[in-house]
Amino acid sequence: MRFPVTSMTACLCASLASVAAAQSRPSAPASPPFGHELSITTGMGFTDRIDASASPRPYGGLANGVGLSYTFRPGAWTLTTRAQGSIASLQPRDDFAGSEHAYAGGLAFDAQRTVAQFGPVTMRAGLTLESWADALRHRYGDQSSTTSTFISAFGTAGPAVSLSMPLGGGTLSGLASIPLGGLVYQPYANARQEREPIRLTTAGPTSLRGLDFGLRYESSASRTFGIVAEYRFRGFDYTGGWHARSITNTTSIGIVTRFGRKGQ
Amino acid sequence: MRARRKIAAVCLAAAATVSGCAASDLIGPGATADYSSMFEDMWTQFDLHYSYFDLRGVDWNAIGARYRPQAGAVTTDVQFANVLGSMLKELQDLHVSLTPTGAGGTVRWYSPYETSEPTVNINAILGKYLTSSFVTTGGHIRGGFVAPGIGYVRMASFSESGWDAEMDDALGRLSGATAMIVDVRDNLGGSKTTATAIAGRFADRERTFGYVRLRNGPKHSDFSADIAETVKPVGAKRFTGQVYVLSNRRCMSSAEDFILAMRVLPQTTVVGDTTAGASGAPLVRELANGWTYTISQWIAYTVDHQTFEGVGLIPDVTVKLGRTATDEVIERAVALAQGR
Repeated sequence: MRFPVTSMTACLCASLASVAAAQSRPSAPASPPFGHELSITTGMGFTDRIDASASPRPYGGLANGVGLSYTFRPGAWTLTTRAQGSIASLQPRDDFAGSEHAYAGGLAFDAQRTVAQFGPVTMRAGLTLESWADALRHRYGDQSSTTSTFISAFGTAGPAVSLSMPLGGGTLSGLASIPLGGLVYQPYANARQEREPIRLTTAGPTSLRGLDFGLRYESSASRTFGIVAEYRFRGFDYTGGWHARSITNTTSIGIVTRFGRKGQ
Repeated sequence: MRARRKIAAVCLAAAATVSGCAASDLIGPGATADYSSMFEDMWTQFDLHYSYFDLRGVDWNAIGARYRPQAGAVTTDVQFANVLGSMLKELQDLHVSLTPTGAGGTVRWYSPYETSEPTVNINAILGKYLTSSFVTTGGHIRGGFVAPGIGYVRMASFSESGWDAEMDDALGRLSGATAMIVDVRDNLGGSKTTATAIAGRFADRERTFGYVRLRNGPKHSDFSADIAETVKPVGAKRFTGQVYVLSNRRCMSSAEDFILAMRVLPQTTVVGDTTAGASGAPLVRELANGWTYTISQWIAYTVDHQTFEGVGLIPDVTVKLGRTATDEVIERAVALAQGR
């Protein structure tokens, strides 16, 4: 089963672009004057995944998510903590029976420092630490529609780079990060009443590949409140245990509040 | 400035759209659905998960070598289902099965006892032995009094939901009983949680009734440490008088968990025949063509650390059910309850 990813994403992005185009104020400085920033977003997207712990078949569908982000800017550093959660309802991409529901929650921390300035564009680089847990409820197409839950969790670390520039009175920024390694919790089989002790394994670049890419626009950079529009692309491929591979596109909108002076 | 804004907005939309286009293609097609690939997938999943290779002395490599050429030669789903089914039957495990879609029903190995032993005639019991009878609202429990002060409840499975209210109802109706006959003969199992919770209606305190070891690694000998299974008092209505649990060769899976839990209670006597010995707790998997199959994924042990897979649980009082209108097992249980 294929999803109309192209058209729906384009519609959402058109909305996102209109937020930027609607700004009439002149460009603000690339670095906002506020030292703290809190934003909450909600969005939807499409996810495709194969989780071999449950099935060798690919599943895909609609995901709804919510995110909370806090940014602190002490001097040249930008420190961001993000909490996010999502629920996805997935159908097989082939013609056979079965369904999945994926519940995910995670926490990420970015530490970036300004490394270059290209005219109005500020480049930052640093480190992203990310952790998330995923509960996949897989309903099989057998006669009794057996449902099994598969739980996994990942903690990763890797480099991150971002570019930001003033745009229409707000700030447009792009962020990319890749995990280079981390810790993985992936039980050998489905979640059961009889629990084993938690075993963590390490993962490196040979078994863990991914890309997190985001475009984010925040309006009214010099004001206390603004609107946030964000697009994120996330690709993930883990081959160290049960093969888990996923691609997620999410477009979100929300509000941002800013407070405190920069450097305080 | 206006031009730059437009360029940025277009870039934003273009990047999002391109990524969106790519998503369903990047994820790839999944596993290959040709017969040889699916055979390898199933064989490998059993190799990685099945728990009774060593206990049953199964040479899985040899079995794979024997059936692999057959799987490579099939041309139809029916032929493929027959090859896979035949391979799985070699394990002689009641929890191992294959459910093809569109190629017939579930394929599994059948124990000789499943066809040779007489089944329980519940209508005969209701008519001949029960002085009064009831069925709970969900239809899971039938019961009544078989003699003054001796209650009888029958549970033919531990599947589905709604058991709590039904157990309250059944025990409420039998509140005058001083002894209880719990008939789980022909009970093919269902939910272990349900089975253990029902046993909890008869428990005086928390007790360990067995252990399981989970297959947790690629080697056939990779298992977790013992994980204790416990039964503890639960429910609004409970019964702690003498209990006689009726078993037979068609008691399997969660029904055997129920018997394990009941027999560690000091007031319980198990009457009837040995159980099926099917303790594997199946893991469901699916093939690339949507067919599903089940794999036993643990070894269960009694509280004395004895395995009973393929052997069964031996009752305290052995009584074979004949093929007459008389239910010798229930009659023996009544006699025991009456001190005869």
